[in-house]
Amino acid sequence: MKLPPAIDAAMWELAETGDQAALDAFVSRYPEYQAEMAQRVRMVHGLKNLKPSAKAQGRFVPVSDPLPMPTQNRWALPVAATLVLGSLVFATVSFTRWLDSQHKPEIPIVQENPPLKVKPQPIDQREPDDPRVKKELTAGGNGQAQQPEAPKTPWDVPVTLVSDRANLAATLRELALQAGVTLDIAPGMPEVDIQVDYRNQPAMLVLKDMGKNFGFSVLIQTQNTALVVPAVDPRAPAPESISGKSAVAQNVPAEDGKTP
Amino acid sequence: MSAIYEPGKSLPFDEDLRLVERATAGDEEAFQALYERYHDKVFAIARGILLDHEEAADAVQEIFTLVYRHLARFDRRSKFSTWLFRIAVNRSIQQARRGRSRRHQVPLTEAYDKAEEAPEIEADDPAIAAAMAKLHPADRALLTLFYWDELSLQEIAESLGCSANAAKTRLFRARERFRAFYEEEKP
Repeated sequence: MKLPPAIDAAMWELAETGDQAALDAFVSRYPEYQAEMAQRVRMVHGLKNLKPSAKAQGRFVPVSDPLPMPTQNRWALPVAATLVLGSLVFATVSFTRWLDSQHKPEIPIVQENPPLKVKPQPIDQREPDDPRVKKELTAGGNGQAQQPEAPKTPWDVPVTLVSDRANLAATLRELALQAGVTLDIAPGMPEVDIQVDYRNQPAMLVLKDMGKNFGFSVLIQTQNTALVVPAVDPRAPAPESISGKSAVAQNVPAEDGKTP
Repeated sequence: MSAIYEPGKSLPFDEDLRLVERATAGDEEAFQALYERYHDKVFAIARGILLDHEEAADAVQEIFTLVYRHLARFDRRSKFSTWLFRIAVNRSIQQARRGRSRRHQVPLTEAYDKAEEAPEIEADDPAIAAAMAKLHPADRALLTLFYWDELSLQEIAESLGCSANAAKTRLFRARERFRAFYEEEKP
């Protein structure tokens, strides 16, 4: 039987006092609880009557090997709970990081050359289409036959991007990382997976070639920053294309067969 | 931890404290007096929690042995009786848990033989003893302290190491669980 808490508490108290006048008053006021009240009285009476009696007999003799003193380690439970919670959090974070590492886009970049030190050069002295690059490309073919000169600007730093399937934005980030430049990518860039094969090509040349193939333009802002916008000026002269096997760039269809 | 007790400032009417002082100083008769004074109440606690006369008698001897050996640890911040009852409750609950796990490990045939054994506590109303036996040892401890040793809520709180409000709540819940088991047992 579910009773209102106040009534419930009052009934226990009345049963414990055993005051017959108070019990009668309660029953006359709440006749519907008469049976329950009688049961409470029986329970309390029965409980009290259960008390055993065993007087001490003889002298106290200590037992030889009692158990250790029982202690209430109040700190033990919170500490244990904290440790368990901490372990769970650590395991979750570790597992999440491991999952993230498993799902990173595959960009197998071949870094064939050691990182080059870039000698700073004012932006107005830079030639976007440096003839030396063309010369180097035509003479070297894959860019490995001759030792390249030290680049004058970060845009001249040779980069190597080789991938059968990589996200365009991720590829641009990798290029920026290798060249030591900052690329601000404007919203609206196509979310496509691309196939690239550039080996030891100047960063700017690679950028322009990719822009031609994947529909974006590169606007130089400072010596080592540029803005990448998803638009192509139809009147702009076509950039020098990188011929041969050294530069193959193509749009890779998505896994569902649709080309984005 | 610093003891608050100062020998010269003990309350003159606290007979327990005088006995404790003498017992700590090596007076065997003083400890015997404490033993005789509290044996009945400690036995009630042990019996209420353990439900078995023999086990309770053994537990009482172990409890008083613990008190005898660790009397110097009593820091006089509480009454001797509540310190003693706290040891009795914790020790009995500890033994009840061990006994329960031991019972879980008995062979199947032995368990079958014991299946029909009723709880040792005898009562006019068998449902009372059956409901008591179904309770958790901690709940039995509360009911024992309240109904058998007739401690106040404050004394129960000190014996259990909790606040008076917490003791009141725990007692109320223990009584409700007892009532539920009692109603299950009634035809």
